[in-house]
Amino acid sequence: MTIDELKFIARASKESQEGEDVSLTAAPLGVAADMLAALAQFARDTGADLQQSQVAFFDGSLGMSYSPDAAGQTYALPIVTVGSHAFEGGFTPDDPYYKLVHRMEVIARKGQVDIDIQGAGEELHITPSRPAGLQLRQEMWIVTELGLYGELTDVGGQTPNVHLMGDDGIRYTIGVTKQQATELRVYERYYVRVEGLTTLEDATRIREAKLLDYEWLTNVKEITVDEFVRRERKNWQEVGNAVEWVRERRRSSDV
Amino acid sequence: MSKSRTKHAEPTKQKLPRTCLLDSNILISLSNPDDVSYKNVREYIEALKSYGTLFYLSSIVETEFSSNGSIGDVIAVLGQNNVRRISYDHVDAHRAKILKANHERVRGSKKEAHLIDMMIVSQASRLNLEVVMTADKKMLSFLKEAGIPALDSNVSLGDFLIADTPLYGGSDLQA
Repeated sequence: MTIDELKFIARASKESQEGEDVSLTAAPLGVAADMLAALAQFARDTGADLQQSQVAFFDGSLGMSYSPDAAGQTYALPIVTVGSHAFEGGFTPDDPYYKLVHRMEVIARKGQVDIDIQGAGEELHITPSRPAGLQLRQEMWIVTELGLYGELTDVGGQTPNVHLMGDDGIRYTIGVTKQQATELRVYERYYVRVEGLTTLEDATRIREAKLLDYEWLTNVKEITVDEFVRRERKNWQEVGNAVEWVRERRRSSDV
Repeated sequence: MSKSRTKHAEPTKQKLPRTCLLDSNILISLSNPDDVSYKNVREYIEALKSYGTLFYLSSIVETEFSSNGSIGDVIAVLGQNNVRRISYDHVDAHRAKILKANHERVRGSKKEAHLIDMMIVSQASRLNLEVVMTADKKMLSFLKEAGIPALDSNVSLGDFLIADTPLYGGSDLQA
């Protein structure tokens, strides 16, 4: 979810004994200055150009709306969408929106104001004593098995490992046995199966990867469809209808 | 191929996908010239190969095909460097759970979609693949629900290339 416009509405907090209004014509300088500073930092964090981004003020409270330039609009809240269903991925501590909300929490506490934030998913309400409650993502490392494609750029070491430059542009370090190290060829393409620890959010981050199996990607001779049919037809001619055969197997695998 | 279709659109290969996950029924149809989809599937596979499409093989599909056939033959016919083999991992499982919840919300049924369909679709979803190729109407319907384009091998390659529709298969494909 990208952000087109964020609105911030600061009011005198009902928790405050002073109870003075905060409006466009009478606002504590500290609150206004800190809010603008927080917005400017958010713009920088998201790559927006300060000169091109807009800020507008509105009354009834101290209202500020922030509209990033095109570059700033590429920032997306960490929400994952699958089909038509969206779920919160949670924030990392250095996420720009998480940092912005945290700054607003400090402003609310220091200035004794309530701040509402609109325009980024669920509306947030901050008071001097109650933060917005954005949740930080709990990183959980889970054992997983992955298949990777790439070129080996290094093999060896006292504790043997290989470096694989993946087709995804990521350099993976993978532990191997001494036997595997002698079999693998540097600067050749491989498909490798590895076991390691990864996170739910980012399967490209792998720790303690170990090589399970590999295929050298230059040793399979390509065949024609006619040759494929010659080899496989005997295996499948009893099946009849492929769609029905597969559907029947999937139906029986459901419990 | 009807004449009315050829009037308003010339065949173009620009519609072919760069990435395509193959469902099990496609591999089985390609193995057996007696299968009803063999001709269409063969045309698609040959066209996609010459177009340079990257074929994705799910470990689930590999398991289904390997019950009778050799996945080595599949890799050999598709071309080793044109194939990406993908395992089913915890990220896919997480997505499959969301897809299942979404399906139940939309359809109000817990039994219409089979778990293995969801597992395969979750892999295509995670990798943001352009299409899933299948001849299975249930799978096509489920892909549509999940917002993932499908290449429907019930529609011939010729009809697909000249149809006005974007990359969406199944019963929605109309000239």
